[in-house]
Amino acid sequence: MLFNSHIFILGFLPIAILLHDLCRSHPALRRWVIFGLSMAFYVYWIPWHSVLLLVSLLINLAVGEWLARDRARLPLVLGLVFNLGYLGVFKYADFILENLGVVTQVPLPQLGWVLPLGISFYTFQQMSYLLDIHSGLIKTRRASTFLAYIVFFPQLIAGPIVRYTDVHGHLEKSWGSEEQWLERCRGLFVFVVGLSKKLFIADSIAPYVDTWHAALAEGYQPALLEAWFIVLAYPFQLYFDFSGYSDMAWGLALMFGIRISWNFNSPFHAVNMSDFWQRWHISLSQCFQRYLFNPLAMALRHQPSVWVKQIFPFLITMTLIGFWHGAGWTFILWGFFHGVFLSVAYLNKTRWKRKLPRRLSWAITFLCVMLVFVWFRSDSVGAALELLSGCFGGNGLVLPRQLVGEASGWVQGSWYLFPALHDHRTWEPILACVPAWLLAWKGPNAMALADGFRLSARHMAWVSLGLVLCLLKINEVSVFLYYQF
Amino acid sequence: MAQAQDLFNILADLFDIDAATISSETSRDDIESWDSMGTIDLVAELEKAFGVKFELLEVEELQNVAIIEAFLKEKGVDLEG
Repeated sequence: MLFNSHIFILGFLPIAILLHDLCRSHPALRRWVIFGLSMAFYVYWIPWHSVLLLVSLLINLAVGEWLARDRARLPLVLGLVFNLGYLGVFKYADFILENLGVVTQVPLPQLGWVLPLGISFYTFQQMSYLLDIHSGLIKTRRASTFLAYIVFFPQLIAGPIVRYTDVHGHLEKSWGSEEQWLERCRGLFVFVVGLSKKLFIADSIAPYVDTWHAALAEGYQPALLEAWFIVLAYPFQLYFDFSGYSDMAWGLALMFGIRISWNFNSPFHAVNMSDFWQRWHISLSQCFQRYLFNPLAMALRHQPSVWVKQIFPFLITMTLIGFWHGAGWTFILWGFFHGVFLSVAYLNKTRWKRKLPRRLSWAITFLCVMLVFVWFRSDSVGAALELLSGCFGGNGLVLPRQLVGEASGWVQGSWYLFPALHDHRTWEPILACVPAWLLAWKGPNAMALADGFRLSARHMAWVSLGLVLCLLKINEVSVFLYYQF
Repeated sequence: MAQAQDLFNILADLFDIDAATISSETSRDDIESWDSMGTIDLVAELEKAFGVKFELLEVEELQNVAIIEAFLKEKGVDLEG
């Protein structure tokens, strides 16, 4: 079931709110209802995946209890090995087998299993639970709180990755104060903001980006302007898609009395790479920072070489963030290049001490982020290289024929500025992208909008109007981009 | 006895800012160059300068100067001034 579907908005959500509110004065019952509703939400996809989820939940619950009794390394190691193995089998086995086959020149059979939905998110959340018990951060536990926390439907499929310590207090109380009713309205408002971002912006850009990348996968060579347009379109589609989803998750969680963390904070305003990662997919970067980067960098902090104590943790962490997204070389390279850029920014800050004007620093960061997203979206390394080659003039410059007349050589004329989109008029993709660019640069983000929300007739009228427009816009359901991870 | 100014000087050198702008109220949000690696570098510098040792779990809590001062005090370094 998708958040952007009639069945969710008009069917599941009202029933969920009704059942939740019926038991709002009984915290334990409220948690079991949240768990039951969330499992029903998950079963709707591929039922047998919910069996896998239940097995994973029960094993982590048992290991968590073992760890709480005896904060030894053995249960922690076993728990982490189980979770990484579980993720490895379902997500990475085919990639590893394929590459082993290439290295050994012996073709190995593929498992071909469908990736269980949300596996990367709920597995990481369970690992954070075990690590936090081991480090003593989680002092009190309840099975019902753990189960409701992991499978809580607003964040089960695509995050944000939430820590047990952040939400267990909300789950262990009753619901229904005057403040919580106001928060529910604020949650609904942010849900509609997120839904609008997905339906009106991300989904408007998607057909063009998909057509371009399908062409690139088949060897299409975009010329300079078209290549840059592709590069500048996809990150905004992804941003409005995933931040739209994250806003919906934040709003839905608040409607059930649970305040989860924001996942985005105007990432394209970032003035350096470190700043970007404090604004983009914040829950993931914090998770990797807390459980991988900090332990690694702390262990190496007194090493004499900058390459060992600083650059190495950046490269390892970012490469693994890339690999977390998907079992493919393009994701690994996307993460690796982010590690390289973070390292360069760090060296500039600490060694070269070259201070750039703020606008220039922003422009360089923006350009690097845009170009590196080519790896994230491309279907293959070859397609990514072709697109990047086009950006640097490798495929020449094509302009509308009326602008270049009889020019020849590097500059060519075409009827279309975007030959790969020959079924569309030139202005169509431009019209789809311009609102996204303007809103991402100049518009308020969801955090600011949520802060500005008041329980007034005017604001509720906007929420109602927005919801009606969204419901009218949902004609065919489009999957969120992060559901594949 | 160590001075609070010693701590401010470490922060100023590390994050390339004027030591006079730092006080106990200064937080990570006030210093743009104070990022995650900046915190690790800061821990390494504090350990060298004051002869103390920070634990991994403490790193996440180092979000402002007052907390650093409190941690140093807990580890036996009472800053004067």
